[in-house]
Amino acid sequence: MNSGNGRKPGKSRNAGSSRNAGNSRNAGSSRNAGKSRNAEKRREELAKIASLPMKQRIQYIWDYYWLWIIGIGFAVIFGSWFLWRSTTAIRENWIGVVFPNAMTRVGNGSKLWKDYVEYTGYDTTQKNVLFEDQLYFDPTTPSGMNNPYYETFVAMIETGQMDAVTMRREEMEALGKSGRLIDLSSEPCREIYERYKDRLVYSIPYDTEYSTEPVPIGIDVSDSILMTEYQIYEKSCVYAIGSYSRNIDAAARFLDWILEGRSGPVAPEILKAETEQKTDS
Amino acid sequence: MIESAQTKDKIRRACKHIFLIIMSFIMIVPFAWMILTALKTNQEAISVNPFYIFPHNGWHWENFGTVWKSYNFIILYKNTLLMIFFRVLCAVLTATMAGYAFGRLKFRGKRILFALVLVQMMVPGQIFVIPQFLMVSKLGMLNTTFGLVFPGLVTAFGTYLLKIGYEGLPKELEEAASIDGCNVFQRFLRILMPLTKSSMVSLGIFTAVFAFKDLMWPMIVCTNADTTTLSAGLAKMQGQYGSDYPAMMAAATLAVLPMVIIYVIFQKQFVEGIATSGGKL
Repeated sequence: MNSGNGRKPGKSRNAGSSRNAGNSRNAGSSRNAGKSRNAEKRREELAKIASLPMKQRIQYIWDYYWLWIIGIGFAVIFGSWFLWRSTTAIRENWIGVVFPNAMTRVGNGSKLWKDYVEYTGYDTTQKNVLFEDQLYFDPTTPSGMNNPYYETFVAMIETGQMDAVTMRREEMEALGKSGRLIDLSSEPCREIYERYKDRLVYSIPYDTEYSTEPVPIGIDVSDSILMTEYQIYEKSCVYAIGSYSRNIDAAARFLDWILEGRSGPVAPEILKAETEQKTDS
Repeated sequence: MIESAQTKDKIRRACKHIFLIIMSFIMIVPFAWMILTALKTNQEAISVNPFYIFPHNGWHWENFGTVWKSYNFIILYKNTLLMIFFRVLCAVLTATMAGYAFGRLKFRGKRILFALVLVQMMVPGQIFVIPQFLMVSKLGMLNTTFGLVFPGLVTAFGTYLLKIGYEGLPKELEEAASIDGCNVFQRFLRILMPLTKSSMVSLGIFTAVFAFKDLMWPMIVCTNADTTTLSAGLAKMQGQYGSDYPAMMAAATLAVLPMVIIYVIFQKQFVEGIATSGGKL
């Protein structure tokens, strides 16, 4: 078949390659010429700046290069701050607890927060103790979850920033269906499950592949200090652990404290060991 | 004959004006209601009597003082303005450069890369929240202005908007600049970028409004009251002043003030921005 242009393929390839070679040679030489022209310009500019008296030199540099100066200055300041911040920031949490729909203030810095930090002896300069009480949503209805508060809650639980959650009983049962709360009969929570067997709250998950039977997702803490002393809810209160929690031991410790203060303050050697373990990991 | 045509025209105009007045009234009522409720007592605010539009027991300006004192609005304003400033700066800067590259330059994989940009616009923003949060957390940037700005460092919508802007400019301009000895950077910075000013202003306005309205991200990354923004601060007031509607409305009025001032100053650009991009705020 005729190739269409009447040329032999080999010839056209050769012609093409020689043209390409010529083009690349030309491009290379023009690039070199450009480079040498730029270098010459730079030399001329430096000589011009050097020839000026100091005051005029500063004025000249500022007039022509102010944008570069500001840009570099900003980059240096931002870079230094970024480096300082990323090396000194506290990234880990001792524990994070979220109290959606709380009626009283139990967030960071509240009486509950201070009491718990004092009780456990957590060093908040090493790791954070996060109590979040500013989320309002109703998991019992689809419309009650269609808001930024619920999305924030999901983000907090799924990133593992928050370890535990408290809600009213019916709300927790509804929330438990989403699979965002840990199954207390699973291995990591075996100790909690055994200890609080008589207080378990169940929920049937939406994910029928996981289970079609009720799954223990929470512990009834309606008689805990959260209700008697801090009055965060009316009628009922259930405590649950997030599926992505990285501090299940700390969540269990908080549960013990709100119920009976049974575990006692955390021994310094345990705190030290936990810190070292986190640092190593 | 002429008289009847004039009468018809007058009636048509009158109808148009009545329609516009009704529509304006519908738009203004919620805003006016917010301000009037802020000046009432709580009893008046929750009264269902429709004639209680204006305060009956005096104008309670002290509601503004109460919320101003209990929430540090100076810090909220500062955090919000810093977030808006840096988000606008970063969005305009990156979108301008990316838009120029996609709109004017030829490089391998351009179509695939631009398709990736478009894909970002097609998926809901909530999908990115968890990975973005994890990145900010790992960098140690929680509770910082950088953390607030992080999701706005680049914008797919802005890249698309600016790409269209650059594509609409005549090629001759760039060719003329090229003949005069401008390199790619000079052609972009000195010739084409100034011509896309209206697109940049539109993008800036869109970014500013969306940054101001953003509630979820500040709630996730800022757990400290000192680093949060107006929107998140206002959402948290809902808990504190859950049943004190005048206080909540006073806080809402104070929160929208900066945006009202910005709108009054940049009214022309706002309207032009909407017209240029064909979007709505």
